[in-house]
Amino acid sequence: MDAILSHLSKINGLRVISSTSMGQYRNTKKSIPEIGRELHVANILEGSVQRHGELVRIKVQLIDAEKDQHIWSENYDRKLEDIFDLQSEIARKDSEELSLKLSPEEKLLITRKPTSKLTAYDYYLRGKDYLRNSNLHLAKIFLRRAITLDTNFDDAYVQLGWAHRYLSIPNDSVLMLANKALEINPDNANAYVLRANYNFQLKWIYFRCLN
Amino acid sequence: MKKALQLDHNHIWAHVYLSDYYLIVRKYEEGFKSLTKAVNLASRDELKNVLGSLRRFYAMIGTEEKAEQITNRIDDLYPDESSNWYLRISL
Repeated sequence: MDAILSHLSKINGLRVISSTSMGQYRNTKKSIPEIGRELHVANILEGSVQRHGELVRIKVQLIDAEKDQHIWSENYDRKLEDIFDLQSEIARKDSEELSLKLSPEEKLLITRKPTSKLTAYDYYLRGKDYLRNSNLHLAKIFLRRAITLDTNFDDAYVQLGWAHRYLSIPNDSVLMLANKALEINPDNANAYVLRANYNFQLKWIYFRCLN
Repeated sequence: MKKALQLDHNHIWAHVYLSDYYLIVRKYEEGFKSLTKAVNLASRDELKNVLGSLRRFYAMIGTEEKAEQITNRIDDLYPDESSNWYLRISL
């Protein structure tokens, strides 16, 4: 779901609340309209994922938060290796149902696969999760594993950069990792943010923060 | 930051860092706009840090009273967290 929201976030005209906001509602008894009001959102994307070996079943529904009505719902049974295509497909379907027209650039952004190696993606997600929970050393280990499997995995370089940043590993490695990610993918927004953080908070070159 | 926001206009930390920049170059109105966007996008987990930035923003431009209000709001939202001490001391 994180990846789908990340795709949607890139679409102009959509205000997307991160999935961590929704985490607090995992076992809630609150109604959809109540959640919508608390988050100030018009629609809620709800989903579940079940994995059986190499198969994955994803149930997704887009709900009008105010009316508590389904706009769209779908069940997908796919091979695990097709997960990236499926993420893009769901993001595209959501934008269609919300009557948003995607620009060619946005279409490109949401169809781009983060990595060609599924195991690398698994390591990346684990590393990111450790990073989120401030377990920085484990985050570093898993993100490095991801990069070892796919040396063109730009998002993994960025997250490793954040791990270095918070571990106070020599400053320049943060910049090097951000630049490496941008070399692979010049459209990586997180890499620009990491580089700005480096320039601003580590080097105090604040004017570079703008670009 | 502008490039990051072109690519992902919902990027909370891009808005926050942009506000830091505006604070330093004394473009307070723009800085406040960026922070407001970040507050509206933030999840509960993220909101504490975003509000911390907003509190610092108010304190730096000399509106201590508003900064204190933000500190109280953080206390209300996260009553059990000891790090609120830090926010209060650093005000």
